[in-house]
Amino acid sequence: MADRENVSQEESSVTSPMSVPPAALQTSDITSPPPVEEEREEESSQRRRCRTDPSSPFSSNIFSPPAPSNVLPSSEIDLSSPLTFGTPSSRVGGPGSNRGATPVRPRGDLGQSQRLREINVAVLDGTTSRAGQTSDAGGDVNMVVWGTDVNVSETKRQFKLFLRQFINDLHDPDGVDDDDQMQGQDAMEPFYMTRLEVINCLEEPYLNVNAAHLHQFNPDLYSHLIRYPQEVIPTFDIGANELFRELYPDSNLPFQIEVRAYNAERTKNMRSLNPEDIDQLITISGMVIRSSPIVPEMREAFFQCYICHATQSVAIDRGRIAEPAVCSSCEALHSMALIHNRSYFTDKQVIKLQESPEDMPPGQTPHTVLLYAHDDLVDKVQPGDRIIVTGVYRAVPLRVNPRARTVKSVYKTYIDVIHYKKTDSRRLRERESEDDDEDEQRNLFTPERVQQLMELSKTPDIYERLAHALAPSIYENIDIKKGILLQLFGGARKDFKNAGRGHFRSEINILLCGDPGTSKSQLLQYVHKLMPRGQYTSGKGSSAVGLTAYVTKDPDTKQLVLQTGALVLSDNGICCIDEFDKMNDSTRSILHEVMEQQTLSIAKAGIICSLNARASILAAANPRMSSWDEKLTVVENIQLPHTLMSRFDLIFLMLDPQDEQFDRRLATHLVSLYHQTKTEEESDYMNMATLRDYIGYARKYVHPSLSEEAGETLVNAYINMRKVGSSRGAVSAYPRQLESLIRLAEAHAKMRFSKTVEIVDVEEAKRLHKEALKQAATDPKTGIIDVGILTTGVSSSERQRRELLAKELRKLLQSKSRGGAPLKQAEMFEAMKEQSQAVITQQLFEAALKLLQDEDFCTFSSGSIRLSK
Amino acid sequence: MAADACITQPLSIIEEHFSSGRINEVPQYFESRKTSIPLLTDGAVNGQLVRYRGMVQDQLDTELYLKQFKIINKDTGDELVLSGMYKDNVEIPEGYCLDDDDTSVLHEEVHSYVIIPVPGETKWTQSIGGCGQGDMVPTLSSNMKRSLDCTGTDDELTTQSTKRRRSTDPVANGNSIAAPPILLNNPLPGETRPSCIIKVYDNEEILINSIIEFIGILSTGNDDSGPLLYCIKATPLTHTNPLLPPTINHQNIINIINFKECRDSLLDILTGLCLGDTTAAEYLLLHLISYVNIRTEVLALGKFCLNISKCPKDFAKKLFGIIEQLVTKAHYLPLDLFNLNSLKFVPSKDYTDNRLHTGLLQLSNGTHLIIDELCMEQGQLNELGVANMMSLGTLVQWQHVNYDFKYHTQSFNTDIPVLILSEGRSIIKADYHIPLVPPPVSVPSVINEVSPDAWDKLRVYLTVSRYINYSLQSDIQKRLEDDFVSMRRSDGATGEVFHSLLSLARYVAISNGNTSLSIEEWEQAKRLYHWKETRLQ
Repeated sequence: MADRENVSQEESSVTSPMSVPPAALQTSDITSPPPVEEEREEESSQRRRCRTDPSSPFSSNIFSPPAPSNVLPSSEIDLSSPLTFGTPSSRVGGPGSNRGATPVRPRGDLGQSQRLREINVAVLDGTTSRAGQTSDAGGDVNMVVWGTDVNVSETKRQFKLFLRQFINDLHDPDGVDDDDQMQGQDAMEPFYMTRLEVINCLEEPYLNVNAAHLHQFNPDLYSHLIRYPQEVIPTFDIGANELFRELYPDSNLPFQIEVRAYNAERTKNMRSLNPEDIDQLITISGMVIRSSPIVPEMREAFFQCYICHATQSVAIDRGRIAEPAVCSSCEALHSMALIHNRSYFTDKQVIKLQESPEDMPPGQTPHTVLLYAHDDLVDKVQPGDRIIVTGVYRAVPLRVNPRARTVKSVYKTYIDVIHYKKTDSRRLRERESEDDDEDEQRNLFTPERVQQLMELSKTPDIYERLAHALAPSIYENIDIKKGILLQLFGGARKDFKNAGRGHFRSEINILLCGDPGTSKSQLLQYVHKLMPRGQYTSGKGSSAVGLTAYVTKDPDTKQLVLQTGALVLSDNGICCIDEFDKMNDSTRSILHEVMEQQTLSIAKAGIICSLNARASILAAANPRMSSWDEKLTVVENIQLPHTLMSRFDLIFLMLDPQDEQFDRRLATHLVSLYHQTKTEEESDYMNMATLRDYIGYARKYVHPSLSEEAGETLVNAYINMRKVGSSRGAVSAYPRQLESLIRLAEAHAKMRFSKTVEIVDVEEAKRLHKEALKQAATDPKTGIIDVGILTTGVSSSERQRRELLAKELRKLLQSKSRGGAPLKQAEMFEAMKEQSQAVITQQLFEAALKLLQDEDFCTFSSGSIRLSK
Repeated sequence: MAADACITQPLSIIEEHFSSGRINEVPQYFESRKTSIPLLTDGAVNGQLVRYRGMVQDQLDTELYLKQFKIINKDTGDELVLSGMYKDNVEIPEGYCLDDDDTSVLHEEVHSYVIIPVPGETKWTQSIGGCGQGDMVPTLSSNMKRSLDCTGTDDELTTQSTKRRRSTDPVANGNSIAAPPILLNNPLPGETRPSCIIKVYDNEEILINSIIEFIGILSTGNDDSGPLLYCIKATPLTHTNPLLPPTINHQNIINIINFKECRDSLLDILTGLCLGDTTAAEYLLLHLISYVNIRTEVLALGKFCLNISKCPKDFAKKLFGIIEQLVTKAHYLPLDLFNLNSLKFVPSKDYTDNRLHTGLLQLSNGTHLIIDELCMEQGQLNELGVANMMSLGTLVQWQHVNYDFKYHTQSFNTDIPVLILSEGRSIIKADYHIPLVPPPVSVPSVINEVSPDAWDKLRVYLTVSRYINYSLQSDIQKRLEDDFVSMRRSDGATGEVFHSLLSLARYVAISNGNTSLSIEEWEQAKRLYHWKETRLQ
């Protein structure tokens, strides 16, 4: 190895990394032959040099001007070497400094520009030597962060202890905080030791550290991290690396481990970022709205004297490079020229983050904040992603001109990203923890809030209370509200992929139908407002593309991009579709797939994909005729294809009850709305925020499973349902109904914050399901509940009637038929009417004819009937 | 004179305050001199104090600024504390430099907003408003007569600018403080007054689409962003009627004007306009005083979107001509194919220039929108047209507009009374639909007989009626409930009908200047509803 000589020197720096001045680190072995080709490839990615170590010699005075140190002893670089003229990224100036053969790369996020505020208390008097101020290597260094009592070596020691000892015994099986939690990890093993092992195996030197773990382990260390990330994180880096090398001395990492802290005490949203947060570690959530192309940022400029060829590197300082005016070797004035391809660049990207729509107070536009992503974090997020960012909040003065006598009073603020977490990166993946969208809200549930919700869940009438809290301005219709409530909670997601069935849908779909003016739209609007990821669309104006997805050309990149429609956007939420009946057929056909498979297939402009659309659908439909005809079935009234109807778990009729009691209460209710005392009514019920939190919490944390008894009750219920019909020779329940029952029971259990589905849940599911069926599937002619209406569109009594008529018609046709001559349909209709006692409608007659045609008895077209021979 | 210095050299006054530790008194200091502060016009120069009234159109990113910092004289070691408030750059005196080791440095946030002239502000409001709101109405009880021929009491500068404004056509009177295109972000066409960016230093909540009067220091230095105001004092306004003081006291509204008299004369005018149809005129009157008074979770109660059908040709323009004379903010929107297919109704965020691009429906509360469907012709709506129609429908039904933020929409509540004039029933479902049925004998128009004084009274009438505290007494509540129950018995009235009736009754009472509903008014509301229903059959 070319750089072996260095190693020993560097080795010493391991024990006391603070002591090595950068100049020493850069005494890199330029003269030695370049390393082997492969290794060069590996190291090529523009960063091999040591960052300004925490021991930065200038650290004793942060206001000292950029030190013109870092003078390389000589320039014996072979300029004819291709290496010298490569692109900056391919430049291999020297093997760089090594610690245990692992190159160090500077951290872009913390950067050299922000010089470290550390001071060696041991040599406090030593304001003296700038470059040479190295406390004796190996000796006791007693560095503290400038202006504080944070001891650097103690911090490092504590951090190592944390890595060695921390056991994540609070590990939540639901994977709340641990996006890094790996499968098969033993919870009793020291959590971060396993991590280091993974780093060793995968050679991906990033160590994500959950700040909450740190807090649990050592609150002081945590608060140091939060308050002085600039100094503490590099110290952590050193600690992690030392520990790593101790454990895996032979490991060959591409560069040194970088510690990435995340999940810091959250600054809840962007709005609450304030000057106090400057230079602190913060975690905020938001949505990426723009990302810049990659910007190569010069971290260190390389100058060469054109007279004596002496070279000099100048590190960036507060965003500026101080060009050396004098050559340090030949003392010529203004002889230093910048050599681009030997300067040192890192990747940088500017990202604009906008606060999540949920965080926006009404009547204001969203706030945005700039993020600077460095190195590996570049291009990790795309516009539209919802992310949780941990980083250091920065403010830099905008200087008009550093030499002018004016100071710009406005500061530019941004966040240097340390860690990203995409909150919906898993949306397109199958089988992941549910409801990841609620992740970003998780910390909104303070322990007190959780406590409050828990207590609430224990109140005996919680179901009624929640149902009443739902859209209190809409009167009565309590069963419908209960249905919607259960829809908001949703069932439990199950996976039967191994059994060949794929996953069962957990979302509950509800259709409301009824007379216009029965506040269906209001209910929909309410649900839309209640749920963070709800979409509201009207069947009238929405086309198939508006619901699903369409391809457009992005004006910036000129690339085709997929714009998602309401159904995809409401993945894991509720999609409210008003005027469902006004939707055209092609749009409706899409819903078939969405409502059962919960996916959406798109094949447009060369983009073929399948998106998850795990949306619950809450639809409202008006009757085709101006008002509801009680003599007709639901299917006939709203004229939706029964294939679609059967995909709704609950179908409710919203009719105006004719009942004086009800009328009176409604009147009082409405009058009170117009009487200007608004508050008293609200206090009766839970407010919207509590309801939202309650639902959010249940969706996130409660995953009930069926108990033995509950399962049996369900089975019995299903068998009973099937029995009811079999006596009449009709199938009255289908597996779909059973599935609906299970979902409803699960949702009810969720509502109770219960881990198991119990008999009460099943009973309520049965009751609600029956209630809805009673409303929607009652055969208006017989008064019997008949699922066939929903599943096939025809009630069994109607079917029987048709068959009866067909039989008679067959006789009639046979008797009237004269040698195969066509018969007039109208005449036959009249004849049939005379013959039969029952009322025969044209519709019924045609249905009977069709039956005969299916039996190959006759054919009919354009008003004439021809018997088959 | 102090007043002059206050206007031309506001910064030095602020510095005085700062150095004596009274920085917090700055807003009061200037506000007390409000009447003498000129409006932002072409004459204004860099660094002077101006007043500006407009609507908050967009909110820019929040910045940090140096509220307080120290500089040190390198030679003598003298320290000096400076403030970065109300300016972008701070000059550092010779020999001094920033004290880096400064623990007293104070960072605070400064919020920037884009303010545009009040959209749809009617001509009469603009012309009187130029004098400065409320300044010329010393007491409520005194007559409004003086306001039209405007005040000699004001500061000379103001009066002059007013006179010039009034004497010339507003278009020709275009402002020379030219705004760059980016600032020409007015939802309605034909706006010529300047827009500006305002930096607000205190943390007061400023909402999008609210109307605010600012006192601030003008900066015309940076050409690319148009005029910039460092705000000293921001006062949200609940109305923009220049005939009334900025704050209206609920108690003495009744004393300001004679409600009955105003109502009758307004009804006369409207009846004349409606070709003698008193019922339609009555509805129109109630519509003009309507506003959203309470919001439940989803409902906007009190909205009174009116659709008058069977309108003769040119009716809409004529009607708008009168409404424009009466209300402070109005816009006439011919709903023809071209407008629908080419105008942007909904504001949308452009992330390239990081601005909210306005749309026609970005209007402040109480802006009357008159939609003319009479000019609608056959044709096909394009994608934009469909979206526009839908947003109009949402506006009428829910009184909110969903602003387009590309990755999501954000709904902003509105309070825009919408009047739709159409041939048949409008395609937008309004709260009240009444066909125009003129009586066989035409009624002469009384418009020409209305004195300027009477106009002013009507203008005041329409504004103050919003401030009436309306409530229902318990006896009348009982009566309403009984009536509703019997209505359901007899003709199956739905909750919606009752909503309509309750709103009608509310405005019948308010139009009479009553704070609570009387039996007669309830009966009248029912009659009105009944007449409307019979016409529809």
